[in-house]
Amino acid sequence: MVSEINTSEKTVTSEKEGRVASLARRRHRVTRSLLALPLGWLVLFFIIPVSLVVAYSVGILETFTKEEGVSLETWRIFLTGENVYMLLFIKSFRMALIVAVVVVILAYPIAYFLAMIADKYKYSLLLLMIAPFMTNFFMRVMAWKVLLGRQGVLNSFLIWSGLRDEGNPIEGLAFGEIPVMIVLGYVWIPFVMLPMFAAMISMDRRLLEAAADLGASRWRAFWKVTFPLSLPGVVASFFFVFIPTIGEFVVPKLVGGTKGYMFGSAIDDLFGMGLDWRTGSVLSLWLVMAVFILALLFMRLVRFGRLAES
Amino acid sequence: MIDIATSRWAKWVLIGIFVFEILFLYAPVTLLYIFSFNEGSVVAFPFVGFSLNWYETAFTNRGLLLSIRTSATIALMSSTASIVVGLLMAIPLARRKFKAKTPIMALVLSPLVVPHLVFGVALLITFRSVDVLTNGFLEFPLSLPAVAIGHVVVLMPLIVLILIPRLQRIDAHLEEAAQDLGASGWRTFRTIILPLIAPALAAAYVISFIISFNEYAVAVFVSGPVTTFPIFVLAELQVPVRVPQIIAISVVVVTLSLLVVVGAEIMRRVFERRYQVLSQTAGLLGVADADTE
Repeated sequence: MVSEINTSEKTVTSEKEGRVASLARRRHRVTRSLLALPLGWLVLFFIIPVSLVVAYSVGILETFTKEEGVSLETWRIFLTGENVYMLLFIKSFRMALIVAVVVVILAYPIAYFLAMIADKYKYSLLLLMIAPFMTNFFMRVMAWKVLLGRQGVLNSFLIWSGLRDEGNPIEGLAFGEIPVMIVLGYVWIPFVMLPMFAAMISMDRRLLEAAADLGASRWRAFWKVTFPLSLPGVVASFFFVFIPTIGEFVVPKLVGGTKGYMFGSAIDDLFGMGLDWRTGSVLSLWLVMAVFILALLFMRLVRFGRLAES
Repeated sequence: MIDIATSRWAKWVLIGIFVFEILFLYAPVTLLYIFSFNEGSVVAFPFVGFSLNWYETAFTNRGLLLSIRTSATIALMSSTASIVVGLLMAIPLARRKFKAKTPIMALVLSPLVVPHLVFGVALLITFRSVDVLTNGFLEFPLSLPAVAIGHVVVLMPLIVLILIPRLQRIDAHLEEAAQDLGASGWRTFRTIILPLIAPALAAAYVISFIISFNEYAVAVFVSGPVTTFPIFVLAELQVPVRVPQIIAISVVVVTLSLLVVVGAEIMRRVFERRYQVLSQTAGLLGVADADTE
């Protein structure tokens, strides 16, 4: 704005500059006051709560009297594997890793299909894919429970149709580690597609033309252009599944049985049944730390930071 | 586009995968629809006979209806509040320049990397310790507002991610022109910004409402004596004889949410065409949308 003004008329310029400056100052004030409420909310109901978990885990804060004062003892017991929780964590970490990787692999072709091939139908097909899943999580879990249970639809169908003898249903589908992973995978597929789809759709298509002009084959163009450019989306998708899965405690409750018991289930029990909040706090923080460390590792591998800033 | 997308066989393979996964996703849900009309009280083959009994049982179950009302109230409170704070946050982040932008963005998005379970636990400790630290002088009741407060934190980053790309797409000249013509900041917002982001706001509201309505992990820790819909459903699912009526009510809830989601999407398209807002992405996919920017 300032540059358009004839510099020979100095008074006008300075007046205008003054107005611009005051406008800028006012904007800053407005910005600050706009941010006050949401930031305050986050500090009060997110930062402080998480800090209190830290305080609780070392005994600075206690809400029950029976506990044993300020120390890192609970941390030590957990980290040295004196109780079962570290083993449980490793198991849950492995499960979450498998689920996230498998689901990303299953969802990648779908995202690719919608972004690159489906053309004008892509948003309708995308809606078809995700619409039923904006609904109750339990409903989807229940669908599988009903389907896979010992007396569930699958088994009762097999027996009813004579494909399997009565009293000899397919075992191991109703409860355990595998059903937990199947159900979690089922629940996440529609959503994990989204970040990958977004990455592919925003890709500069001219790069592919350039690759072709330079004589790249289709496969080469895919591996050298499309795939690397979709990687930030792949990483985002991975965390989309990994974070809720490693903190999962509902699905194990419904289809886990004793074998499907996860790290999240332990946290839930420690707090829910009021057994031991201090150990529960340690486990909760460990979970967040694990996610953070993994995210940092990935960020180094792929330029994930750009995505986060978006 | 000259990668494998243009080759014929790849196209058919991908279509095949797409159809297969759609079937995989829809089959279990379809079964629920079918079995909601089954007369028998065991959800299994053979199909006993057609009946609307389970719907009747569900709709006369007071506990169930109450839990739906509770969840609807929480969802209304938390999605309204989070739309307001989300918008307050998104406007400066999308349209102003200031130094602390990156750390603030990181702070806003940080609830996304904390599992809901952990956040629920953290809120529980917080509300409990208000009680303990003031020696019982200040007691924070674990109930409906506590859940809504938690949900606002969960929803805020999602809403910010939906709104920011929309806000960024608005031509800065429009705003400057309005202010040069003497419009106040508030008036500029009301007459320029708000109408242009209305579809995104509506989409964000619908998504927030649905997420809050179905949220379990935070709610279960801070709801106290209050029973929300997901808490009720989970408890009932442990009792086999109650499962059929839960299936019936789930079918109703799913159908309703589907209608709302598809309806909102159609409305958004009509609206955006009318206002000719350049938009490449579906409003319902706001989260994905944000990543494209």
